[in-house]
Amino acid sequence: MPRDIVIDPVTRIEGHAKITLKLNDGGEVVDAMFHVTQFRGFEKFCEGRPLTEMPSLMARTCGICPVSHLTASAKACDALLAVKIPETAANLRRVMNLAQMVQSHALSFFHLSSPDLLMGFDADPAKRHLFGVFQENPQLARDGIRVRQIGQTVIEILGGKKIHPAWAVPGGVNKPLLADDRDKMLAMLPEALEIAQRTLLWYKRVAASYTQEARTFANFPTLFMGLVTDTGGLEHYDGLLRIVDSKGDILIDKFPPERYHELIAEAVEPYSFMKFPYFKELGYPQGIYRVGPLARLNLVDNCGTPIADQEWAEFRQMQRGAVLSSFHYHHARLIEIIFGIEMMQRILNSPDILDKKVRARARPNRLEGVGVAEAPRGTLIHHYRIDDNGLMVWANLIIATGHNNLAMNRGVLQAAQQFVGGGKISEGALNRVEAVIRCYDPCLSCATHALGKMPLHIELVNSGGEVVHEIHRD
Amino acid sequence: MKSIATDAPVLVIGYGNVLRGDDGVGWAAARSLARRLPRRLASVLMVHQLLPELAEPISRATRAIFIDADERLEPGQVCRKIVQPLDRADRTIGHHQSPGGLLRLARDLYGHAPEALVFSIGAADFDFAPTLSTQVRRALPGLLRSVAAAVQDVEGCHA
Repeated sequence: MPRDIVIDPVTRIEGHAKITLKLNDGGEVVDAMFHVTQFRGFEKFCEGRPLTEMPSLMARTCGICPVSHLTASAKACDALLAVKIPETAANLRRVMNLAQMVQSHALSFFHLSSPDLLMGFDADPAKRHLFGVFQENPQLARDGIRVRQIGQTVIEILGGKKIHPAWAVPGGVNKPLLADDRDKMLAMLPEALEIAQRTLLWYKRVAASYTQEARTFANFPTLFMGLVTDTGGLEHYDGLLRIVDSKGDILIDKFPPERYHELIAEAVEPYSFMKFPYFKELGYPQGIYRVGPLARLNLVDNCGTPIADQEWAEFRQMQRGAVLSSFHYHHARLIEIIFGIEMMQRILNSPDILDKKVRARARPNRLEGVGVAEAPRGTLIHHYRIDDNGLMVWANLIIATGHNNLAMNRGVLQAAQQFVGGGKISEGALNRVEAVIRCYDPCLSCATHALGKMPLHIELVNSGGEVVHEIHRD
Repeated sequence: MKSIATDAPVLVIGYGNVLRGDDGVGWAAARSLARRLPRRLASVLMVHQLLPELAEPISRATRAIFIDADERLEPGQVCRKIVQPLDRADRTIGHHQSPGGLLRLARDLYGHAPEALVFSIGAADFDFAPTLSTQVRRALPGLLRSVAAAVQDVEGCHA
C-alpha cells in the first residue's frame, strides 16, 4: 500500500520545517514536499509605517542575516527618495554586507554542516553535532568561531552592534568611518583569510569522500540567478541581474533588478508558508532556478579578487557548463568567504573610505521603490510602495531561501529516492535528506518573514493519506 | 584568539532581548554593573544571545557570572546557582548556547572553564516592550547587590 514518511523537525537549519515523502505500493519514494510551517507576515504589519523606519524594521525579519534586510531595505528607500547615495556610503554598506556574508557562511559551514563532513553522514547522531566537531577537530571548531567572530565584529564596528544595527539609512549610512575603526577591521582580516584558505584546503580533501552525496544531493539542471557587476564580476551589493542555464549559457544579462517582476512570478502551495518563485518565461513549476553561492559562482565571468579567482577557476573545472549538484554549495560558500575578506580589504584600503559625506538627504520623490542585494543565501528583493506622506502602503519581499524553494523540494525527492526504501527511513538516510536542505543553508525565518529555529519532521504517507512512519527532531 | 578585552578576573554577561519586557533585565543589570564595578575587577558584556565566540573570553576569566530572566521563578524572585560545563551535548546546537554549553566550549576548545554563577530573576512579562515590569524593576537593586557581592568575593580570594 502506498505510504508517507514524515521527517519533523528538520535539524541544523534556521527555522521550522517538516518533510513528507510519498511512497508507492512498492515502498519507493514517488514525491516529496518540504513544508515550512511558520508565518509572521512582515509585509503586512509594516503598512502605515513611515519609510524612514523601514530599514530598521525589516532588519528584524531575521537575527541571522539582519544586515541583508537592512541593505536591501535601505536601497529600496534610496529609490523612494530618488537619490544616488555618496560613493563612500555605498562602499561602507558593501563592507557590512560582505562581513554579514562571511559570518553567515561561517555559521552554515562550520556550525551546521561540518559535523556531517567531518564525521560522515552515517555517524552516530549522538556525536554528529557541533560538540562532536569540538572533540574531533578542535582547530576546525576554533577556526569557525573565529571567522564568524571577525565578521560579526566588523558589523559591530560599523553599525554599533552585531545584531540589528540601525546604521544603513535611507540615503546612505548614519556615520562616517573613523581611521581607528578602519584599522581595527583591517587588522583582523589577514587572520580570517588564512583560516578561510586553510578550511578550503581541508574541505577539498574531505569532499573527495562524498562522491555519492555529490551525485545525488539536488544534482539536476536548473537555471541560476544573481547579481553581477557591469563587467560580469561577482557582486553582492549592487549590479545587474543575470540568469544562466545549466550549460552555463547566459539567458538574461544586464537586466535592471528593479524590474525583477518581469522575470519572476510567485506561486503558492497549500502545504507551505514559503512562496515558490519561478522564472516566468518557463512557467510553473518548470521555471525552477537556484540562487546563492553556487548560483553566483556559476553565473559570473570572474570573482574579481586574486585568491578567490584562482579558487573559482578550479571550482568551475568540476563540470562542463554550470556546476549542478547542490552539494557544492559548501565549496562555493568557502570561496565566497575568501572573496568577501579580500574585497573588504580592498575597499577599506581605498583612499576615500574615510570621507565624511555619507548621506544624501531628501524627502520622498517616488511612490514606488525596489532594493535588491545579494544576501548570503541569494538574491534578496525588497519592493515598497508609499503614499504622498511617505507612509508604507504595500511591501513585497522575495527572499533568497524562497527562490530556492522549488529546487529544495526537487532535491529532497532526489535524495529520498536514492537513500530511502522499504517503507522505513534509517538514521543515515534521514540525515542525508536533511543535509540536502542544509546545502542551501535555508533561513526560514527570512523566507516566511517569521522568527524561529529549524527543527525537522519527516512523514511517510500512504496513498490513502495515512501517516505510516513519522520522525520528529527538536 | 583574543578579541574581547577581558583582562579582569570576573566576566559578567547580561543577556536577553531588550524589546521583550523583562527579558531585558540582563542588559539592565549589566549596564548598571558596568558603571559600578571597578574595571580591574570585572568586565561586563551585554549580549542578545550567548554566542559560541564568548567561550574564549570566558576561558580567560577566574569567574563568569551570567544574568538572565527566568519565567519559572516568581516575578521579582532572585535565584543564584552554580553552573557547571555541560557534560551531555545539545544535538541541536547552532548559533546560540546555554551558560553550561559555553563553559564546556571554554574548557574543550580553550583549555579552561572558570567557576560560574547564573543569577536569574523571575519575570512577569515577556510581551513586546522596551521596559521592565514593576516587580522586576523593584527587585533589580537586590540583584545588583548580589552580583556585586559575588564579584567582590573574587577580589577577596585574590587579595
